[in-house]
Amino acid sequence: MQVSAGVATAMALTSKKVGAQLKPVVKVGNPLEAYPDRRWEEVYRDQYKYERSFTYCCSPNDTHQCRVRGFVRNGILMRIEQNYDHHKVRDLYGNQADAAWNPRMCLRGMTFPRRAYGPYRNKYPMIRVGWKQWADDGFPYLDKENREKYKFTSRGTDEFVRMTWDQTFTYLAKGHVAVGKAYSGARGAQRLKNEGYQPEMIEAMGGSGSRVMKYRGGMGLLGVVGKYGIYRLANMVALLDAIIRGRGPGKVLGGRAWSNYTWHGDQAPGHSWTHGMQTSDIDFADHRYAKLTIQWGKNLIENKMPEAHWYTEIMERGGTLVSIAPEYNPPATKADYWVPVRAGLSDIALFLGCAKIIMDEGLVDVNFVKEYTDMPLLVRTDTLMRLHPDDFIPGYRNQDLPKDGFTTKWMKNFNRDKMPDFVVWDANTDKPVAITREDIGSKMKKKNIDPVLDGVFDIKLVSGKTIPVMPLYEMYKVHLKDYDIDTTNQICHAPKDLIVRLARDIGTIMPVEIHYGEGINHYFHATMHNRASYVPLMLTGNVGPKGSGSHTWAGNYKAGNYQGSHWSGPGFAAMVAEDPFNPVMDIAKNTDWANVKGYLKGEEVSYWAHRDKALIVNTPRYGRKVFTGRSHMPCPTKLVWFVNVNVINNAKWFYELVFNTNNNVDMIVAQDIEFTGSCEYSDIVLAPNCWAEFESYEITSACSNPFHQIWGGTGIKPIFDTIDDNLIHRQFARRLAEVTGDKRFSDYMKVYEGEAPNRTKAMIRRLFTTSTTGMGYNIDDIINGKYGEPGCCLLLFRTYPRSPFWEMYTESKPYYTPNGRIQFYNDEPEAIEWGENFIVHREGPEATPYLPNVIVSTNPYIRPDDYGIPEDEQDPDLRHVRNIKKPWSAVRTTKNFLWEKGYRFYCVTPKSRHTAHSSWATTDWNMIWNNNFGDPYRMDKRSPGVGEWQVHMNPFLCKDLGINDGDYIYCDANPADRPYMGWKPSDPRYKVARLMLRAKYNPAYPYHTTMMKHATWASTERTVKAHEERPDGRAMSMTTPYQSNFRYGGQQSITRSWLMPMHQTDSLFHKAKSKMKFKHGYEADNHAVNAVPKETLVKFSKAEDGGLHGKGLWEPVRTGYTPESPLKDRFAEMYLAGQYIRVKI
Amino acid sequence: MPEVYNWQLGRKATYVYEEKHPKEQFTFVFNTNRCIACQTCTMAHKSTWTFSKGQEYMWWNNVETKPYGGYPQFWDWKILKMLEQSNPGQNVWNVRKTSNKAIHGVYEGVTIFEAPAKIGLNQQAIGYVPTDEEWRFPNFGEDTAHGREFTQSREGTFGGDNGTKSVLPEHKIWFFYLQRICNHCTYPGCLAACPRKAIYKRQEDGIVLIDQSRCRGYKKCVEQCPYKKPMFRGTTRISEKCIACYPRIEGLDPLTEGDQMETRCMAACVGKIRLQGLVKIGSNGEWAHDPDNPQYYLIRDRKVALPLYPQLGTEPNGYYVPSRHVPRAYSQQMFGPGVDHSIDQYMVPDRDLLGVLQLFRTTQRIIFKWKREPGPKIFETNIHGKKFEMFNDTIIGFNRKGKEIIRVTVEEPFYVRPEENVGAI
Repeated sequence: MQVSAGVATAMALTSKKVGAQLKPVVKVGNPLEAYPDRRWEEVYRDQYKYERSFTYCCSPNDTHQCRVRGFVRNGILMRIEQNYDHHKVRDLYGNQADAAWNPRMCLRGMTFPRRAYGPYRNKYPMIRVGWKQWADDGFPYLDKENREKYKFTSRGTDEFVRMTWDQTFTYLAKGHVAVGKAYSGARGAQRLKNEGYQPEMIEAMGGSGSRVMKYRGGMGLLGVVGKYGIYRLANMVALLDAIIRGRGPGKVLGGRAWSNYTWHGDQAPGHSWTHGMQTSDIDFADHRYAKLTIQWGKNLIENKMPEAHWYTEIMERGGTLVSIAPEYNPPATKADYWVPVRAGLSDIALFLGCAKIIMDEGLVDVNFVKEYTDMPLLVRTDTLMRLHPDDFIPGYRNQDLPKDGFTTKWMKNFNRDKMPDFVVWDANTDKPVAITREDIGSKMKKKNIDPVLDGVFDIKLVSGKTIPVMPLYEMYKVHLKDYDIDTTNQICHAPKDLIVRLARDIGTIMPVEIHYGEGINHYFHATMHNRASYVPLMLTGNVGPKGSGSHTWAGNYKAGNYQGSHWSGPGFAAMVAEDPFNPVMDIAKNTDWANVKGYLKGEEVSYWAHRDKALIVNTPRYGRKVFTGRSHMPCPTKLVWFVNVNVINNAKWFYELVFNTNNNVDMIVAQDIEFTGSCEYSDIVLAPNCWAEFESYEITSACSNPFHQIWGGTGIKPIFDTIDDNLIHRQFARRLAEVTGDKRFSDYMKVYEGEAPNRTKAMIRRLFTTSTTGMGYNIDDIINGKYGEPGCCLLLFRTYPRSPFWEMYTESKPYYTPNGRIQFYNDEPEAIEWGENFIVHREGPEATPYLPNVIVSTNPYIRPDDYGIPEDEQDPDLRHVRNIKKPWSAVRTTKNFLWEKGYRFYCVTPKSRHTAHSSWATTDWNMIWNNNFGDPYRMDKRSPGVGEWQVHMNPFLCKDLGINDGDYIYCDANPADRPYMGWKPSDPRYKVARLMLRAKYNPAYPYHTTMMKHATWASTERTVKAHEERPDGRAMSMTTPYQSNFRYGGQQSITRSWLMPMHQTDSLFHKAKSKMKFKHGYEADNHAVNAVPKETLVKFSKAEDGGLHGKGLWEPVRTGYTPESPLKDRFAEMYLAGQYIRVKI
Repeated sequence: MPEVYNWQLGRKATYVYEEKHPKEQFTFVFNTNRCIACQTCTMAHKSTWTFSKGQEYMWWNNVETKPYGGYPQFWDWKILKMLEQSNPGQNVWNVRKTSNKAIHGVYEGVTIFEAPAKIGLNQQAIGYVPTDEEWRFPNFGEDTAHGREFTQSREGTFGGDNGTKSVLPEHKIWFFYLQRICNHCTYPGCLAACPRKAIYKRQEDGIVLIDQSRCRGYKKCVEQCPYKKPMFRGTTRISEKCIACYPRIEGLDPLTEGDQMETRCMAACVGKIRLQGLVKIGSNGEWAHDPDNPQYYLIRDRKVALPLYPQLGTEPNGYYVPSRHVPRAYSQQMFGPGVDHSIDQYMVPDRDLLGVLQLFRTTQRIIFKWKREPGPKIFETNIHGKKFEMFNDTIIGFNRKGKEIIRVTVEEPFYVRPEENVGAI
């Protein structure tokens, strides 16, 4: 459609040209001076004109959520521009943001019309033919035979039929009832047992068929009502359980709410271990205060584009920039110095090496360490637990916490017994003294306690036994002996002089901030890496002051932006956990905590992608052992409904999932604006409106800026047969009421009564104005523009810019840990058993040249259990849990069996600047720009589309493998389980699943580190068939609107599922993500399995020549002007060395 | 051939037409240090002007990774090689001759207009027409680094005992981003080359346009623009080029109520690297002294922003703050001998320079004048061998009529709200 406007222009130009030919030639003098006839210039003025503009939120899976302006001509959204409104945005108190935020929105927002009008758009609802047949046959039980008959075992070769919305809602409703009935009660449990599900998973269902229903909204903030709102359905299906099992309120269970942040591998899992918060991050304006900024495996340049300028500008403000990464990456180009390291989180050792230098050279901020960290807390050398007063004071009772203290006043409802008091050795009295979690900062000083950091002390226990105890700091002196500069250098390969420089910079510059994201969090031992990042900062007082801290960015996860509290109301919970048996029917009223009843339960998606299993392992020493905590335990997966997320396509171990695991899933519902790789393997495809088409209000905000956004109702009319996300959910509920004859379903959606745009306003009011960030606002005032651009206002965080630990540092408030202090140490029993009580270097279970999962330490206070698993064990689940501790001198001689077999290359898979994960990955202009092979004319007909995927490789590695720049190559990982279990070369699916892509020489990459951008659209049976049979060779399905980024395979061909044990404890104490409450153990997106796609090793082999028609060298290489081209001439050398110009001084 | 004065070269140079100047000149400053290569500018351009059939290879704006990237591929490798071959070893900058009339010294080599005579070629300027293959892959070489000695290591990493040193003042492994649109040159190669005189420079703003009704598609402009910014369209068989979004420069977009507006690619820049404006040209053809104009201030007064390949001789009107980490010889080859001075100024900016840097991309409107209101000192340090002091000054931008259009402070304000608005988020 957009093209038509352009064609009109082209025609106008052509007709003018024809006219001009008939006129006599115009005399032109000096064209620098004058030009006789400029009337033709109207052509471009006409092309520029528009009729109206409107603002909306560009709301993809990113951390920015930019307010943008769309320009409309003839009803068509022609182009987009940033809104330049930030300096006008205010809050309730009159605080105002500034023009330094202008502009926000990146290239993806610019090309959004290419998606809205593009060929991959979902234009109407569709149902898979086999699934429809199953439904029409009355939903017979899906035994093995029926699963084949209705193509549940071969979804990728089935077809889709167009449906009306009315038909679709009926199928959705009836499907829910059928699945609920099939797996409820004893009969359901027996069926699941027969199907081979683990008994713990069946037990976790509590007999409810609703528990096998899994709902998955997009990341928390990407359209709160429409996307995240689907979790309300998860709570609602408790009513279905009530009907099927004939039970009443309180005795039923709802659906499972699938995670977002953790499933994406975006979370920094170590944060909750260190400070008890889900995530520490800041409004990007906080960069203004930083003077040393360290990008640690992070690429803010490429991944945080609308706000990356806050980072680059530090260089103009007397700041020092450091980049730490295996490769010379975009932030390295901005850096004062780049510290190269070995891939695979070897740099845990770098943090520890720096910490040792900081301690040895006296650069420690002793007051900070004593007042805010756990370093002075005494630790028992026998049990490795922290010492508690009741260990040695008979009858000790925990002290009363001060009434006006933070814990009592703001957290309430906590269990005091689960936060016992701790002990320090007081220098003033030379005695052990009990302290509470409130004795932080100035509050400890007021009690006249001066804890010692050094020394070993004997304590006589209540039992009469005497044991040595040590302040943690003293233990760290022992612990860090393993990380002297030579060892650190050997482990992480960072040059020694830069290790020293970095340590001294951290020790002398203030404030210091460290950033990381997917580059770290996508590895198995991210927990340890995250914790390690705090070590040098905690030692130097760099957690809390403006411009300081250890922060992570990946994913717009922050449900906490609408956090509930006992003083504001339920916030987010008002939407997702309102009591379905007792909803607030008066939409003018807000929801209170009394109306909140969560029948839904969170569940980590990773178990589904782990062949729908929990981590239960047969250990040599103890037999069958369950590593998945009870609070984490998943249920079998039979119904999946996801909104605005490419959850199947982006699944680690994708081909195992779609070829094997999903065969046992009865109903997969995909709700997305485009026909994604997930739609390719779904049963029902729902087609919603896009952001610019929303008819009712939607809200969003971000974890990188303070702007709250409401929009909708002013954009373009829906282009196709699509409706708002929220309306899909409401209409489904109404149909479920009709199908079951139970109006409680429609009552639960009454809050969404009425017409657009006001249909969603009551819900927005309920959740925003009952949150700690929105209390006091009037929704209509915001929509009417009282605080800036209509729909926009500032979120009411404690500070602008938001800085999560400013309060702790400035007001001596406790962190959200048991002891109220930021932690160098974890004494949860699991952490001690697994050898992760200290922050210690650990090699990965797969991405390492050394013994997988080995702990590098001689520290006598690390005493892990290896469960008797031998060192040569290759089974992945056993490698997950094997805890062997060795000194570096021994580790360095060990070998990873995969490395020995030739799998010697890390393949890092960062985010591309051209896509928002898989969104935009096939949008034409983005696909042309996101690689070295972008060609709209597809001169090389092998190309899957107007561009294709590539892997960046070291040129000398390629030469050793006989791979030329631009060649097609195969990329294979551990053949035991990838690309999927049970593959054979003869299986036609193997060809679909085996990754083939282009090699690109890039001297930025060291020998063993290769890079492929992530979240591609995977090859499917249909795209491979198309690529091989379509005359143009495009890998664009002939029957579905699906385009692959590859000829064969996909990013996830080389990944598998890992269920990291430290992510699955029941004991971890932390703050809930969107409530002012404490929690133990599991919480979705907070303490749960974080997916780790980088935990892999690969090898490469040549597939085809890179040149046109598969012959010879790729054309650019033939110029001699590419890196390490075999044809390089002296002119190329002159150019690169800058020798074409000489300067005479 | 007439001789024209080229201030960037500090001397007169041959050109096909007599020296004539517009009343004002469209100019822009790109701070390469801030660029994130997001291509938002590229898509802003594309979605406004070249989204139609036949324009698939046409990207008036592009950002390329140097040294290996380029659109069309290797455009600068090729033109520099041709210039070298026309005058081997003699393309020299003489900075001893620096003066008020030659602020970056004198270029004593040949320009693209002078080279044909050297090699006996009968055309206005040396050049070449890129092949279709070269117009493919517009983002060729993205994030591809140069730095050979380390790359050869098979040990696994760039680190180790004697590891790589990509450390200021020069990174040994390096790349950087170069942003490119038409430079709307004072002495355009395209305009010189056009046999139909269908290319002209607008008197009011110096914007260089290809008359779409007169062009016959001879591709001479494609051949002789050294920056390769005119592009041939197969479907209409004529050439097109960047028009500097003149409807915006003319103030025709209703959004700013008559205020002149920066181009689409400038306004789109989320890296905040771009600032565009118009400078006054005096009756003598020189830039009128106007340090209150941010363009004049950065380019002429402080000499922080430098022309792209000035040795080509077109007097381009796009100016760049060179990247501080790039090997200096390469940067000098690209931006001339002013590179050291520019980087010295930029790395430890004084109050005025830091102030003007704050104005980048605070508004879509063209800033004609800036002013700094002093604030308190908030930070000082020693960095890059110098003392650096930072003040929370307020910087104000004004439109053509002198009306304030934007103000911003150097430091970000900090607000504390009541305790109920807890910080634990």
